[in-house]
Amino acid sequence: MMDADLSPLVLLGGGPDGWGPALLAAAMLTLAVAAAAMAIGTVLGAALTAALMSRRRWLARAAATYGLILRGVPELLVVLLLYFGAPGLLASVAALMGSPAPGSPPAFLTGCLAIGLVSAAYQAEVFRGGLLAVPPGQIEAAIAAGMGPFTRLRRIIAPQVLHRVLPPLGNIWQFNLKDSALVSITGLAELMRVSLVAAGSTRRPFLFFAAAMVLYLVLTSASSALFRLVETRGQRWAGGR
Amino acid sequence: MTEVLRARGITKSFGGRAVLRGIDLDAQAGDVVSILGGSGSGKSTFLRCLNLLELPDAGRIEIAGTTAPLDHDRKGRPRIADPRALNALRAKTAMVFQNFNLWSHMSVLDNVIAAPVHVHGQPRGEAIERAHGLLDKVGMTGFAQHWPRQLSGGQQQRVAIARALATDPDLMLFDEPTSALDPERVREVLDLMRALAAEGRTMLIVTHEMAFARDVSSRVVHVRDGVIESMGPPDAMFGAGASPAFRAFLAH
Repeated sequence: MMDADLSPLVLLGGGPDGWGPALLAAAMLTLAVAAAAMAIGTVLGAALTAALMSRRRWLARAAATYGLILRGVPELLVVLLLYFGAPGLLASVAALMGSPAPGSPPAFLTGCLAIGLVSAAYQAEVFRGGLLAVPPGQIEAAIAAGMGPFTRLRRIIAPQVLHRVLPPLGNIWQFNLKDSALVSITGLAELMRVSLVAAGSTRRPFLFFAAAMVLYLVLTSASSALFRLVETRGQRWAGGR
Repeated sequence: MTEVLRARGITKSFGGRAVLRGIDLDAQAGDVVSILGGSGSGKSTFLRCLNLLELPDAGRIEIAGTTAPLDHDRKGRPRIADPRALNALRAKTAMVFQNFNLWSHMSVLDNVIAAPVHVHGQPRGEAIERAHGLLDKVGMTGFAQHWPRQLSGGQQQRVAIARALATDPDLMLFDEPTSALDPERVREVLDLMRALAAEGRTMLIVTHEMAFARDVSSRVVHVRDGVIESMGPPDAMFGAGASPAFRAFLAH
């Protein structure tokens, strides 16, 4: 029997002809790529922010250049560069040194890194904006009260920055989720890739792309609801919204 | 009498412009010293040098027996020799700012207990009990759970004064505490400061409130062009013995 004759319920279900479990697993992998990219982006983004605001001019300039490049090129290009470009370069180097060429890099890690590198560039801007929005007078009051740098960060700066960066970080998270689709080009079985394969092998593209759409929407709306919940909890002092 | 402040030869330049050109000032326990002067005279900079919010280029500062850990790097720029000693020095002082600078993400109560708990290691319960007493004292009973943004300027400044009192500082520094207030709010803050002076707090006050300086101070200091042009008890400074320069400033 041709797949094209099967009902959508069978195709999306859990039976032998059904793609349901594969799609759900793929959605989980998408979530994992986005979460790992977000984490990489936060750590690297925080470091970039420190560099951007450093008094060492060369360091600030290097961080600004990083942001300019990573925000200024298509993310697909970053994925391609890391997954195909970098190994190619390594292979030529290896050939020069007479060692065997390295294999393909792991798709999951490369994908997370690519999305994470771009995410870091955006997160660094968000953190910088959050830091600059802390009134200097309040930091002075903390200094005058005898608070050392760590106490100031913990008690005065971090709570205010956190409150200000949560909404824009929620946006970046949503972009990460959607951008993870670009990693499908490496063959990683995330949601985009699996729905492409399913659409191709069953010749029912509309059904599977619609299913992918629904799954992406579930991921984005559930996580933005979660972000809103956290935001409203810390909002009373700033006047609510 | 106990000496609370001894400042000697304080100088400070910003980008080649000398703002302080050698200031000496002492204060004994219970002194209320008003620092007057035109804008740009260096009076606020001097105050900010005492708790090292600004690092003086040269000079020596001692507060309640602790010497400011000042040092110079190889290029001769001022620097902190010992960060711990610095925080110890700052912990002996408290500052009240022109713009209040309450921490906006903390309730009134949390503002008052922050330094006692997080700098001085006082148990939270004790700090809260003391904070309620201080809020009563500054006339802010019942506002403990308010946010700073819910308060008027005068109320915010009174909370800032409670915050400053919370660590029982040896020396209180007031940097134009009424300059950002609506005229009808100035009085509530000045009355509170008058009460603090009456109970023997050692206070250095940079202000434009001449009548207040005259009534409350034990000493009035006139700063001009980065030096102390004249100083003395208010009777002398506002009386016949005043220096011509101070008279000109008052007439201004």
